Formats: sequence, structure tokens, C-alpha cells
Amino acid sequence: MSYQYVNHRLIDVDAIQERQRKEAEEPTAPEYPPVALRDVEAVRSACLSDVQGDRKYAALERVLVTPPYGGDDAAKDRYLEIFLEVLNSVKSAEVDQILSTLSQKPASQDSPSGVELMDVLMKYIYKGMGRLNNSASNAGVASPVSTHATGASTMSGLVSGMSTFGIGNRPSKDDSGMSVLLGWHEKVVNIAGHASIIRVMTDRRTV
Amino acid sequence: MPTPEAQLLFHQPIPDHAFSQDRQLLAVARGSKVLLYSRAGNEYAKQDQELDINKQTITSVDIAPNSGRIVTCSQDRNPYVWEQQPTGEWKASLVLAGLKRAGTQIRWSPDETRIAVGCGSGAIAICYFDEGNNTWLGKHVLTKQTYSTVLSLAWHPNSKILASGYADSKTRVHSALARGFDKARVKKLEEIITEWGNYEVSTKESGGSPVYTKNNTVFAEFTNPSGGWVHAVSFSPSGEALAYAAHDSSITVVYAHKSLREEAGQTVADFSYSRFTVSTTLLPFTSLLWSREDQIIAAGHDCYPVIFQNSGEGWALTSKLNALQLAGTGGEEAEESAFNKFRQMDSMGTTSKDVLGTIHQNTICSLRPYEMGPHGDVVRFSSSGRDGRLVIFPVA
Amino acid sequence: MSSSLRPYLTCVRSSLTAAMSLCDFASEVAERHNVPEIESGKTPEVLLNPITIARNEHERVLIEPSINSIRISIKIKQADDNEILLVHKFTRFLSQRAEQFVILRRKPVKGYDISFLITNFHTEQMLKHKLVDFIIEFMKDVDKDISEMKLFINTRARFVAEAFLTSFQ
Repeated sequence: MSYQYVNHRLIDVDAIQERQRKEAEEPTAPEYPPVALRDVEAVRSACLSDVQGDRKYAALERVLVTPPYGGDDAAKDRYLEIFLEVLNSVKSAEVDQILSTLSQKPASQDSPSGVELMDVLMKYIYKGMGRLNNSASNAGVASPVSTHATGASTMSGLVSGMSTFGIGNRPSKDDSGMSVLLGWHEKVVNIAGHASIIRVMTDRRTV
Repeated sequence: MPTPEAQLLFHQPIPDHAFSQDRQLLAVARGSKVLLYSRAGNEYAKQDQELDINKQTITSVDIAPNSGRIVTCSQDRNPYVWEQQPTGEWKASLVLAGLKRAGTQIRWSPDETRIAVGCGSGAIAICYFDEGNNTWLGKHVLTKQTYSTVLSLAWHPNSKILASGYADSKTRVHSALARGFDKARVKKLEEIITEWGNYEVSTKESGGSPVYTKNNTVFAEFTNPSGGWVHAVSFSPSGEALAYAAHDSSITVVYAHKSLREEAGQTVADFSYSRFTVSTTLLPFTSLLWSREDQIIAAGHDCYPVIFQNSGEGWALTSKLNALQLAGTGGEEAEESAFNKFRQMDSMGTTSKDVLGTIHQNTICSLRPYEMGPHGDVVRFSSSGRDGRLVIFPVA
Repeated sequence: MSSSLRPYLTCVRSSLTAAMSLCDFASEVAERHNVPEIESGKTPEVLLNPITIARNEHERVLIEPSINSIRISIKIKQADDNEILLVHKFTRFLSQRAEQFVILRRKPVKGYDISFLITNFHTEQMLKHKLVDFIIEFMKDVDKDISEMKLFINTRARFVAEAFLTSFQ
């Protein structure tokens, strides 16, 4: 009797029915043009010169105005690195000033309003925190011991302190990558409210 | 200044509520039943009678203003029309709407000739009374397979146009005329052109007189760039504007512009739509109410209603009805918040509040107009929430 | 406690408050069913982008929101083998008694130590801000409990070793 060998628990009863599932399965993000790595480098060098010239607000705005919605993972990761570099260059005392300027920016022809830029900022903050997760969890599930080597290798030099973590050691206090992001997160929520987090979750355009 | 009138009905969510025209009767959805309340003094007293026929959670209830008939729809897929007998008893009749999934929202058309039901399968059923069979029958409109759950719907004041909000973050404005039922209704070509779009008609089938060709006439479709399920849609009192609230904590107001031109001896209309999106800093809204042509009341996960106003330059959030309206506590409040600030520095960001500083203690699920002013403005509106409270707010 | 714990918990708190905006939603796939969409995963348009909050590589929270339910997964700090063992035993103990904790998920999400599943029915019965408080409390307490247990183990080990070795004196 062959039916004895069918694992009934694995039959997906919901798939067997009169109505076929919709064709449009995935909630598709609107189409955006692909981002060339050359353009990313241009943004990066412009940002770096802004940072060196102590125009940090300009640097931040430059990153936020052109989010790489259409880019591939490499371009998006590169953008995140630029973003983190800009963020790390800002002293914590300057954050409030920069955020209040940013949030009050009116919309102009070639750039969206401050509210939208704050949403993009929030997307980067969560991506910055999620990135550690992705690199660490892939290896972490298989074998906890190897977490640190793989985890750190995909992170750029920004959080290089991570590579010194070892399983027998206390976690290094050098988690500045995260505490900077958490600090910014709190300040963005103070200004833009919970809605900025909501929009990170609802928006299908990811950075 | 009048204070809000709050009443705790029971400790269970109220997904929807509705008042009769004279506000003497209140119908409240509770679980799989609809409870009836009648006005007694300053509050609503529960009647013994319950509308209990649905098997699963009632998602929506509506009372027709003139006929007083109640409609309910539930997650068990069956909408019912309830009619009060001369004896005072309520009698249910099943609406043969043929829903394949849960009913999500049900609303009487303003002319009370039909009922619109939104469904989890993405279809919307337009139900009307069939004299021949003495039953309520439903015709599906907008039955494309690709559509997602209808989360909300709203009638245009002319009873011919519907707006609906979907779980795939789309808002559609479409025809509410059902083929078959509405065939005879097209007499003049002008009727084909509405404020929001053109019906697709054909003169072939019936030899001369135009007939609606299909039930899927979508006039317009809107999506917010930042996505979000569309929890609420509503037409303005004049029907010229449509507002929708999406899960990205925004409300959007859409205006339709019609321009007529002559083409081959026939009048053709072109439509364009202008949108104003107000992105708030609050949690998403689940319900919308136009109090007048330039004012919208919205409420949702923040547990208090807020008012949006069109100042002439555009829409903006102008006030929040969140305070418990206790006069003279301003100083105390400021003192407390400073104290809290210091305490929170020590308490790892936890707050020890047991009660929220709002009347509703949980998400507000529905808003309804309660009292109309002399010019047709909403003077008072009611809100019902998941905390089982019914609150009647004055429009400040 | 370290100064970076407060911003971490504040971030988790605001993220949870935002994500816990749930409503009742009947299944689109199976008629007359009402299931947590984040678990069934059959209706992609009602799932939102998951977000991660990380304090460092060892401590992070994953929030997976959907229209009628959210899944919160916590990775608890594990600095050495002792703590890895303790966290494993402790979370397993809790997960096996999941029905008594109402919002606890029986199995943690892959890569995390413990998961919670909060549906719209939970936010209807319980106050939402209290649920958020509970998760934050849990995160604070679990670190404390683990380090306490670790101390107990060390004390007990020392005691056992002493008792054992005195016989060779």
C-alpha cells in the first residue's frame, strides 16, 4: 500500500483548492534604474571631500538624496559603507543640529523633502544593524565557533574591532559601529516619530 | 467646550459600530454577534436582543439611515441583512454574495438600494434586492485574480462609484454598477462620464443603446511610494475628493479633474488626478472621516483621533484630540515629564505607566459621524476601539 | 550595567511599538481561517520588511512584522562556553512551557535563542505598551539571570572541587 509511505503531514492542503494563487506573488518594488559602481564611487569621493571640508550636513544629504534603490547588493553595500563613514565622522554633539536641519528641509526640484530623507536615513540605520546580523547568522547557525572569522571578513574596516572577538573572550567594548547607529536611531525617532520605523518596514524600496 | 463622552461597553474589541439616523440605536460588533444598544439618558443601554447568526468574527456592521436596516459581514463569508419586524424583533436574511473568503467591510450605498461587501479574495460584491426571488443577490465587480484582500471600501455620494483599499497597498476608484442589474440604467451618454472616470460601454450588444461591457471598470489606481496596506478610504461629502489612509502612517487626498472635449461628434472626458500626501510622525491610521470639505478626522494605532485640515495651501495635521481635557494640569504635567526624564535615565528606557494618557486604551478601529451641524458638517463623531470603549468626541 | 544597554533597549522599544500595529486579518489562502500571517508566509503582500536591532555581534533582536502578527527573536549575549550552555538550557526550559507564557514561540527562529509570536489577538487582550514592557523586561532580566547562574556554577564547582580534593589531603 503506497499511501502508507506518503507523509501526510507534509501535504500542503492550502495549495489544493479551486482558486489558483495569484500570478503577482511578490509585492514588487517600483522599477528603479540600476546603479553603476562608478556612480557610487563618485558619490563617495564627493562625500569624503565634504567630510574633510567639515561640511558634514552636505555629506549626509548627498548620501540620502540618491538612495541606490535599483542597485545590486554590491552597490547597496558600498552605499552603506559611505553612509557609515559619514555617520562616524559626525560628533555626537552635532547630531541634533544636523537632524533638525535635515528634517526641516523643504522639497525642491531635484531632492525630496526632509521627511523622506529622514525615512531613508532610518533605512540605512536598520540596514547598518542588520548587516552584522546577516554576516554573523549565516555562519553562526552552522557553527558558533566560526562566527567571528566570517562575520568580520565581510564587514569593512569600519567595525574592524569585531575581528578581535573570540569565543572565550568577553565581547569587545569596541562595538562603536552599533552604538553610533543606536544613538542616531534614538534621535531620529525623537524627531520623526514611530512613523519613520513604520515606513522602513512598509517600503518595498530597500537601500 | 464640550468634553468627550466615553463609555466602556465591554472588555472585547469593537471592530465596527453604527448608529441609526436618530442616534437612538447603536449596533456594535462583538465577536460573532452584533449587540444592540439604545440611548438611555447620557449613555447607551444594552438591549436584550442580539443579532446572532454569524459563526465567526463580525468585521463590519452598517445601518441604513432611512430604512433602518442593519447589514453585517463576517469572516465566515456570509453577509446578512437584518430587518426589524413590527413586533420589534430583528429578522435576518442571507445575502447571496458568493464570497470566497472573509467579508472585510460592508457598507450601504447612500441611496440604500444596494450593499457593497469587500472580500478577502480581492473581489467586491455589489448586492441588491431581487424582487423576483425575494432575496438579496450579489454581483461581483473587480474580480481579477491578482487582487489582494479588500481592507476598506467607501461609496461615492452618487452611489455609482466605489473606492476600495487593498492589502497590496493599492487604492482603486471604480464603477459600482454591476452588469445585469444596471443594464437598463444607461440612458444618456452623459451618464457614462462620472466625476472620476468613464464607464466602458458598448452599443453592439443591445443594438443601439449603450450597455456596460464589464464589471471591472477601474477609473483610477493609486499607490504610495512607501507602500502600506490601505486601511481606510473615504470620499469627501461632495464626492470631489477621496482620502485614504495607508499603513505608512500617511493620509493621502486625491482630487479628480475632468476636462471635456469633442471628438468625432461625441463628448469625451479626460481625467487627471492630483494627490496630496501628508506623512505624519504617528503610528498608522485605521479609520478616516470627513467632517467637512476641508477637514478630515483620522484615528488608529495611536489611540486618539487627529484632525487634518486644508488651509488652502495644502493638507496638514492641525490638532490631536489626545488630551483627557483636564483643565489646569499643564504645570503639573511639565513637572512630571521632567521628573520622568531623570527617572528614565536610570530605568533603561522603560516607562511604568499603567494607563495611557488617552481615552482609548487600545487601537481605534472605526470612526462614525455622530451629530451633524446645520451646514452638513460633522459636529460630533464617535470612535470605537479594541479596548471595548465607545467615545463621542466633539470636533474641536 | 553598561551604558550601551539603554540606547539598545530604547531602540527595541520604539521598533516594537511601531511593529505592533496589528489588525485582524482573515487568511486569503484558506477560507474561514485566521492564521498568523508571519508564520504561514503564504501571502507575501501582508508581510513587511524584517528589521534587526543589534547592540553588537552577540546581542541582537530580529523583528518580523506582518499585518496580524509579529515575530520577535532575541539573540542573548553568550560570551563563553558556559554561557552558551546556560542560555541553551534556559531558553529550552522556557520554550517547552510556551503555552504558559502565551506569547512565547515554541521554537526559536534560526540563528536566535528565543522567539516570541505576538498576534492581533494578544494585542486585543493585553495592552500593547505592556507587551512591549514585557519584552524589554525579559531582555533585561535574562542577561542578569544568565550571569547569576554562571556565578552559581562557578561557586558550586569550587565547592565540589574543594570537597573532592580534601579527601586527598
